[in-house]
Amino acid sequence: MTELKRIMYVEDEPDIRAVAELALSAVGGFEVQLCESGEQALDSAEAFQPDLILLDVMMPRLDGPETLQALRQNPLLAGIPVAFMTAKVQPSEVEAYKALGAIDVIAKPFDPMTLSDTVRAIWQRHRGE
Amino acid sequence: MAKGGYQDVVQKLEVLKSKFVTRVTLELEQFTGQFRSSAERTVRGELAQEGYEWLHRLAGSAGTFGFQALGRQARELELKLKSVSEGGGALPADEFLRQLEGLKELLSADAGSSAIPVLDNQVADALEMTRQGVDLIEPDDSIARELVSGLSRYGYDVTIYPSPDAHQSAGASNRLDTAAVIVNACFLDRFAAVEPEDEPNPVRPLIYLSRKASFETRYRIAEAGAGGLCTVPVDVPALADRIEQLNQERDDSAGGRVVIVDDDEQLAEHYRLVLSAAGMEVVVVTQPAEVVSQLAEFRPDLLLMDIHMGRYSGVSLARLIRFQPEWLGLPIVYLSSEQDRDEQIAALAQGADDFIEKPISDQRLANVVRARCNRARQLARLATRDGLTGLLKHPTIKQELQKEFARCLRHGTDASVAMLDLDHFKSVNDTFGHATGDTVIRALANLLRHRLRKTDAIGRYGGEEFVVILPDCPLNKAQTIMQDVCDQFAGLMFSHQAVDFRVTLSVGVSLLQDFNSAEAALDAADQALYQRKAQGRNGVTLYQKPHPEPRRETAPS
Repeated sequence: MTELKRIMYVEDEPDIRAVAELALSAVGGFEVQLCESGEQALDSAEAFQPDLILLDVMMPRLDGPETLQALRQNPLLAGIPVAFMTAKVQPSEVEAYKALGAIDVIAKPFDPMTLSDTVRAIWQRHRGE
Repeated sequence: MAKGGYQDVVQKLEVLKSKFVTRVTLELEQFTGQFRSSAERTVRGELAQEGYEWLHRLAGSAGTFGFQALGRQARELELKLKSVSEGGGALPADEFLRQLEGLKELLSADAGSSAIPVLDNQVADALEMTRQGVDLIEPDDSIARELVSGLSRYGYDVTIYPSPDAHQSAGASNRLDTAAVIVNACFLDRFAAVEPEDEPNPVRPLIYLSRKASFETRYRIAEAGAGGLCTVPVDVPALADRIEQLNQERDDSAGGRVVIVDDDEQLAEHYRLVLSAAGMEVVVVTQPAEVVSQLAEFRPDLLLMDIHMGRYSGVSLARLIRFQPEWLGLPIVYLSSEQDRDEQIAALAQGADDFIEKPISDQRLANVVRARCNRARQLARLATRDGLTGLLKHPTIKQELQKEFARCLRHGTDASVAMLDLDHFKSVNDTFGHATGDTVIRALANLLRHRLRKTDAIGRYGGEEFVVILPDCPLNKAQTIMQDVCDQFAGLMFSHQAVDFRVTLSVGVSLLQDFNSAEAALDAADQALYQRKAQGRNGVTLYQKPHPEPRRETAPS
């Protein structure tokens, strides 16, 4: 199983970005790149080559699902697994997100102390399939 | 923890949290101002859309910084605005402004309680932080005053309102962070009229006070959605327990832990998604042979199981699980397309609790499972929690220790165990009486609960003895944490009949993996505790391995 090392986190809200960085890097020990928009993610994903991308759903301009679509258009990025982050959702919405090609959905608000465990579990499930 | 360490992360989180507060305060001001200047009488159009987006973000982020009540309230208001912006009715401007005002209050009220495990060293503030608000709607002044002083000893600050209308007009009915609302039953109809509860599970625990407790009165109180009834004259400790219990239930109902056993991987995965989207933690087992080990590892509230799984039958599997007395109480629910009612009953007769027929809608499945989980937790809590403190009872904390020991062996992680004992507690009881002694014990329990991480297990081991299990925590870190608890506890001032006094605490700590068994580790923590007692109490002593006899060098002959 490939180990999860590099995570790209895409989120428009600066506070949450900062907490997520702590949660993933200081607590989880991952190598993290933060992006403040879908566009920035599309620009820098090729260089960073993340193992996993965490995408906030609701962002101005390019939202999460649109960013995912754009990622899928680029053959160099199309294979990178993506999980969405969103405020508590209905089961039907989760299904819809998965139908778009996300490997999972992480509920917000997240607990900074356990976010890394959640991400790791998602990764293992994804890899195990 | 990879870099920086636990304390470091906590500190940084605190800084981020204060930035968050500053930003949200500012945005709230701006938004309120903008709305006022638009002089609209209802919330609609662009403003509703903008507000909806802003509240959605707030609902998603507030909880991360520990503002649970604020997050919930923002979420509620967000949904209102969503339906408005989708063309479903209008929201009156004054109500919207009142709601915004409520958010502002929650932001300042919530600022102390944090989801982030706070380990700062503000000794003097410790008691302040653990105090919670209670609203009392009671016209009789003497009863009201008695409750204010009585509940104060249990860490509750009571605010008195003479009537439901006063409560409403003071804006208190919008606050969600109060630990309880206590209402005299003479206001039963009035209160329900002024503050209708729109959910079956009110977010604020509601307790009625009543002089006579006839069946009719009890029934009407239950009908009003109350969480409890307390007869006058009030048994204050019982009331305080009920408040604590209702709050625990409220916190617990957020989650729910479920194991799904189904050999159909895709279906199991679908259920997992449905339940985890509804806020539950779920583990899927597709190999029936693994179910017992998964139960021991995950400790679910509920087991959801298919009844026909290839060569395995869910009914026999349920019986096998019940072989172990520790799983006798675990609710087992079958999920199956079996439609023959006799077959279903035959299956239930062999040790299961309920039967859900497939197909079932996602929403319904989530609701049924959540309701079952809540009830299971409620019962488990009664059986495992100490009545006075709400901490784990002796046998349960020992079980927890066994589990943590096994976990350390498997994963090679560090875990510490601490044994705590109040200093000179007998003389506290002898001098000030047992009621005061109980207050001291409860204060320590509260301090531990509020100061330690969610993942730490805290138990009342004996009269004034406590055990704390700290997973993923090496000795030096455990020492820092427990020293902090000692310092804070020593800073608490207790009083009895105008005499003020302080109580201190001695702690012994050992590292689980230094020993061959959980019991040996606990014994070592106990030895360290007695060493501490001998060395002058009030502080933490780490277990020192006795130095082995220096081995004699065998000289070559």
